[in-house]
Amino acid sequence: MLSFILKRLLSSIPVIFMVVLITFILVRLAPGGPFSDERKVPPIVLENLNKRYHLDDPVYVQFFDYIGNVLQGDFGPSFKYANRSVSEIIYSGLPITVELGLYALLVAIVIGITSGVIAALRPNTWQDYVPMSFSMLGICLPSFVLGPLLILIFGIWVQWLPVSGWGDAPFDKVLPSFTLGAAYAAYMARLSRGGMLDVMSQDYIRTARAKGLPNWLVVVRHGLNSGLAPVVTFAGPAAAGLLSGSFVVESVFQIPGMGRFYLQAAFNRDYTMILGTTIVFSVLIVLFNLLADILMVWMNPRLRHARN
Amino acid sequence: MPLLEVENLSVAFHTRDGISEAVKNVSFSLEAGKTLGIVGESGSGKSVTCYSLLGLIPCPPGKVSQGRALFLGEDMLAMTDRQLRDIRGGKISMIFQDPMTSLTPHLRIGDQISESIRLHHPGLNKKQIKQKAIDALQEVGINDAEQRYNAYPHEYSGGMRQRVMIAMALATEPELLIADEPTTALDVTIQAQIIELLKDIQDQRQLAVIFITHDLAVIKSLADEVVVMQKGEIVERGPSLQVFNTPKHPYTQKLIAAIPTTAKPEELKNTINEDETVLDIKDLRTTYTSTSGFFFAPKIQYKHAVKQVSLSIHKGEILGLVGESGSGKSTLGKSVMQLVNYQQGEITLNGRNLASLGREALRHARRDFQMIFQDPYASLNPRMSVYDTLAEPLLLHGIVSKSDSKKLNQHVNALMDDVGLERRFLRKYPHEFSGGQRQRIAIARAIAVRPKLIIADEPVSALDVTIQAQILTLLLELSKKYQLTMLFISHDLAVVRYMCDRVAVMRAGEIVEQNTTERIFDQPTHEYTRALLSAIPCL
Repeated sequence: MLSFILKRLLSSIPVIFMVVLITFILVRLAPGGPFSDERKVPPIVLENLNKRYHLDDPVYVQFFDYIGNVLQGDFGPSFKYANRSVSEIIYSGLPITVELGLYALLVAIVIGITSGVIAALRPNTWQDYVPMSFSMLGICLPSFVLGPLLILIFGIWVQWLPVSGWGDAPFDKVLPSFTLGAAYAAYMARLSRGGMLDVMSQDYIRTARAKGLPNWLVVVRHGLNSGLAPVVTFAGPAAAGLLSGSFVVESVFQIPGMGRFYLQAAFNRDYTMILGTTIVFSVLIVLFNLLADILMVWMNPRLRHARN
Repeated sequence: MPLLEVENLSVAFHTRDGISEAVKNVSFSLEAGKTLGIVGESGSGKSVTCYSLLGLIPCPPGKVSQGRALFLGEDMLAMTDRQLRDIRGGKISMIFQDPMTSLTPHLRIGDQISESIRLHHPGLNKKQIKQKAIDALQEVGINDAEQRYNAYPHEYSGGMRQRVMIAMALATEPELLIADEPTTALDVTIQAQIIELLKDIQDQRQLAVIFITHDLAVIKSLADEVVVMQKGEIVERGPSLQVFNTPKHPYTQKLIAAIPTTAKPEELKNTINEDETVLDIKDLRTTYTSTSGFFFAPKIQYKHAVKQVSLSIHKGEILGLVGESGSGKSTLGKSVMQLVNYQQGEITLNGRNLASLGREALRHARRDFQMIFQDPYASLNPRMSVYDTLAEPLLLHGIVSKSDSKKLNQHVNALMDDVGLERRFLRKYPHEFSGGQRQRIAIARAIAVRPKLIIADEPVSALDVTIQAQILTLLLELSKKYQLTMLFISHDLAVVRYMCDRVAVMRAGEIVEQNTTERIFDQPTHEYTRALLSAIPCL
């Protein structure tokens, strides 16, 4: 198990390096630059700016300088927010984005798995059709539609929940978490339904029933482990999507997370900002996928022992 | 008072296509300590009968439409789910056919046994439960039970898993054990051990047993009473010996007659041309490698599936390759088919060394060797109609050109006639056929290109005994008609005796004995062959 984790950690280093390299090249290939504005900047100013931010060095020198700095934990200065470093901005926004992502993941797991398992236990009844119809809806509705819709219903019509903000008013985290998690809940519902349907027809479920176990114990103790395997496989990429896909929800609900900076940085050609946020997100994505893989191996004794 | 008395049990399945009666008016009774055998082919309702007693059939669509089942004087069919759960796994335990899939893979063996004990003996404490589980493991002959308590199912072989299943069933001290095909998935020597074990336990515990099986030979030595089921009804019942020695119902007679007991009849024998060698295998070695461990210190494990095997088959001959699971017989077949890489040795087909052929040449050469697989449910492409399945090899190997649809139709129709299927089935898809019919389609596909060699890997082991007899006869007729040469891989010695001219016995990747069928069965020289032969239950 330990060697498996180590192996995976080591193999994620080149992955992240490639992400950085490709992003570094892509942002520089994009037309325009951080200081090309509608208002023309005098050439001498531009030259000074380029000098200050070392943009007049050859690209490969810039790259290795940058890598060197990143390894020391320095993402460089932001090109747009003159007095703030990228590290500072990430530091202030990341915890909020991560918190939002985790709540949304919780929403997805709790709602998705519960409704999927219930649907699988009563296939082709209303307990199956109702959650599966909702899940189809959840997959189809993008968060920029679902968000305003929920704000309209719960924030403006019935006035149960605040319409925006993060940590300012009680329960203001509910709507954004739900908006972000809904689509993933929908996917998880479908995956867990499929997985459980498959497992419940296995021979060992029949054995468990023949023991005289009550139905809920058959499901929980003998069924869930294998039945939820597809969900666990999906949870890694899902967690990554929840983190990096949060910018829409952050914009809709006016949340000061990192997603908004990510988006703006791309528009502003804020090279260091784009790279900094990309690195943070890609590390998180790799990490969550690794966690999902570890969970997968840990849940299956056959794999767990084979890796030892 | 009998331990179990079933009266007029009927079970129906309500599906979209209508109501199908799986069990009709079945009655039987069983005394304590006795064994009842329920015999029948697939779909005869033998399993459904027992499952419905314990509320184990899915409802809906299943429904017990009438009947009573008195167990210790109480009607199980009238009980609530709660009451029934107390009996299920407690006073009545079950073991199932496939030990590889019947244990929960992510739970430890010991925990799975303890779970049953805890449920049905709520007075015991943790230590007593564990002790009881270990005792049960010891009773079924598992040594070092205390360590094995913490093992996972995948760490056991098939035979050991079935022992664990039996231990699990016995741990709650049942009065009735329902065994649903408990030895069908096991090798013949393991089967003999498990049957011996069940007999011992039954004697010691005065346990009543219902033994469900399709295998008449197994039941003969075990059961006191036998009921024979066909299409949901009991067609014959009586003391075991009486039913087998003087069967009255035509269906029972047919079942018994379908079991091959002799060599093939003279009229189905092929003329063998000893001078023409079709397949020649020399010093074949096939090794599977698996890598594990850290990537700069990999641990490479070798599994020698086939080691140093040499054999040859003459024109018109059927060579039987016999062995238990894991003996390497299927790997040998796959090596000949060039479906796995072999490390050493030569496989020569009609004088051509197959390994020396390039990709394209090998593709053309595949016309000369075709395969029939074990599972006709899995080996036919479900998206292709019978016509397409049969036409594909003909077009692929250029026997008929695509433009000549008249000739193609003739060929395909002739194939259907050859394997005894009606031509009007050509437009149907595999799922519309029964297992036996599918195997006929698979045979038609294999002979379509008139191959020089057919490799049949357990072609009848997934089939019922009456269907099996038909398919074997068909194979023999075809091999005579087309002078087919065949490598016939099987674990079933009776089938091999009936089919083959010569037999090679394989164990752990090696051929331990090779001789004419007659010699192998009458004067086996190797001790393993003798052990195999003595393990077969006979009628």
